[in-house]
Amino acid sequence: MSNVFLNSFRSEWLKRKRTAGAWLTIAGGTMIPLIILIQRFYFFERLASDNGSPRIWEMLYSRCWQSMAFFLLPMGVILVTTLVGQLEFRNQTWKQVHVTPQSPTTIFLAKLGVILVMLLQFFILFNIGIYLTGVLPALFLKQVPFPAEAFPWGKFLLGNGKFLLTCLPVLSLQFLLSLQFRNFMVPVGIGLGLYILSMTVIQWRYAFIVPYIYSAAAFMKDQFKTNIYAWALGYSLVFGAAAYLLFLFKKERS
Amino acid sequence: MTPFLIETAGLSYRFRQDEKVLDDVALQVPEGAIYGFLGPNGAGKTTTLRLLLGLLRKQQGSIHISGQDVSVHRSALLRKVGALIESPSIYHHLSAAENLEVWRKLYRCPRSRVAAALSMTGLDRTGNKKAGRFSLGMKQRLGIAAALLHEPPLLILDEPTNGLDPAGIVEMRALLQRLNRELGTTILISSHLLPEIERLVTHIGIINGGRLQYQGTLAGLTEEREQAGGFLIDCNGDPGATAAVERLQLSFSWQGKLLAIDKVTREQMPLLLRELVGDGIAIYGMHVQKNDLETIFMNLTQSPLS
Repeated sequence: MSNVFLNSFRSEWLKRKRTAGAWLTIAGGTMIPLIILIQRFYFFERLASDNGSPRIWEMLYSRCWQSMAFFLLPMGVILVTTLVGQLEFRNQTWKQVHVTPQSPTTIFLAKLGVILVMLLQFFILFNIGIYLTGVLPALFLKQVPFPAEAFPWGKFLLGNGKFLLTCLPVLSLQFLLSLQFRNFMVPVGIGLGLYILSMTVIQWRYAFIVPYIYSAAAFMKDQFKTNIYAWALGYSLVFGAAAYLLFLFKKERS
Repeated sequence: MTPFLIETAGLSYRFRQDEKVLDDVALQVPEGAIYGFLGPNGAGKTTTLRLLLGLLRKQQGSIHISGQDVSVHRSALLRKVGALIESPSIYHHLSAAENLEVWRKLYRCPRSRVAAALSMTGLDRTGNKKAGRFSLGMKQRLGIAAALLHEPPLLILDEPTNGLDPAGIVEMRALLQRLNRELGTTILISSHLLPEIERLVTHIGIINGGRLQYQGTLAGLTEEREQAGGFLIDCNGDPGATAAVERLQLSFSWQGKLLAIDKVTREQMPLLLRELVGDGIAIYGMHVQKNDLETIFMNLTQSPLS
């Protein structure tokens, strides 16, 4: 079984080569750190004092994640999940995938696995980007010191884990939609609609019931009197199970 | 042990409650055969092939491949099957070799098979060109290369010559015959190109309106038709001719202005002519009906369904 899954995963991983989803992962992961880096160089006079601050990494982390969590992360997850999930519809290859010696469960898990690894790739690139925004000015400019504070691995890992959890409901619902609808506009439209809804109601005290809100809500936890991470996990499990069952019992495999 | 590699029994299928797409189809494809599956558009060919491969959920009847129930041993059986259903399945952003690599990982066959399948289908010089930029014929070849990749003992091909030029069709025929002869590959092929099928197949199945109208060897079909005999009588569409034919209890149909008589024996011929002339029917000519596959196919698929 594990061998079958591994082969299936490798096959799925090859399919994403040169796709818009693969490029979006790289561009999305590096864009915000690049903008922050340019901004840091633009305000050149602050570089030395900022890097000398004992809270330089928290500052960079917060600046990068704020832009990422409110806009780029949910949008990126909507687009990448839909693009990867819809690959077979776009190429009319579902029928060929379903006549290969693998069960629908293996196909489902391999596709989901590829999207999760791409998300992980996105997070890793983003964190390397954050690290470079702190280090690169010191490498290029003599008068700028290397960050005074040691890189807080533990805090970064915990923070990243939480952000990963907040975007799982988006990922699982987009995955469900992209496996069910042939038309690319349907999952993207629903995804964007839910994102806009979540931004519109973000000040509402019960906004935490909207499944696309958690990445942004991670910055305003105190507003909600509930554990948003538990909500995110709950939604992810429900959407994930629904996506699996709908895929498994699909009447026509093409 | 059944001599048939593919065997269905009582296979019926409905997309809607009031529309029976397949009705009690009992397909029998012998091992080592090249089986031509023929039928007009909407006859149920693709639905049958999709059911065989498990792309549609079976509603009624049974499907066995190599004597094993497909609904029980689907994954294991699919390892032995190469398929091309309708349009070729191609990842347009990948090269031909990358496309085959996607399938190779799933079939776990040696890396050398990619080059072999590309060479077999004449795609070995496509290099890094993306498959999306291929011509229709090249895409079709790539679809066939994917079906051949793991050297399956059974090939199920739905209209594999679609989009191929005449030279490509000849090459494809030679390739399929070679696979059948040298490797013993059983091939189930559906096609609209009747002359092509006639040159290629050993066995034939003709489906119309969801029901199998004929199944057997191609030679058997031709022989059966020849024995049955058939004449076309040019009586300029005179409706009075039908009375004479009915008196002799012969089955007939109109093909334009020609009266087509089925199964007329040597002894019945002078009687028929006497009746026609006696009724004052002018006869402008008589022809023996052709027994090529096209004629047989038209007769079987255009006659009203019982």
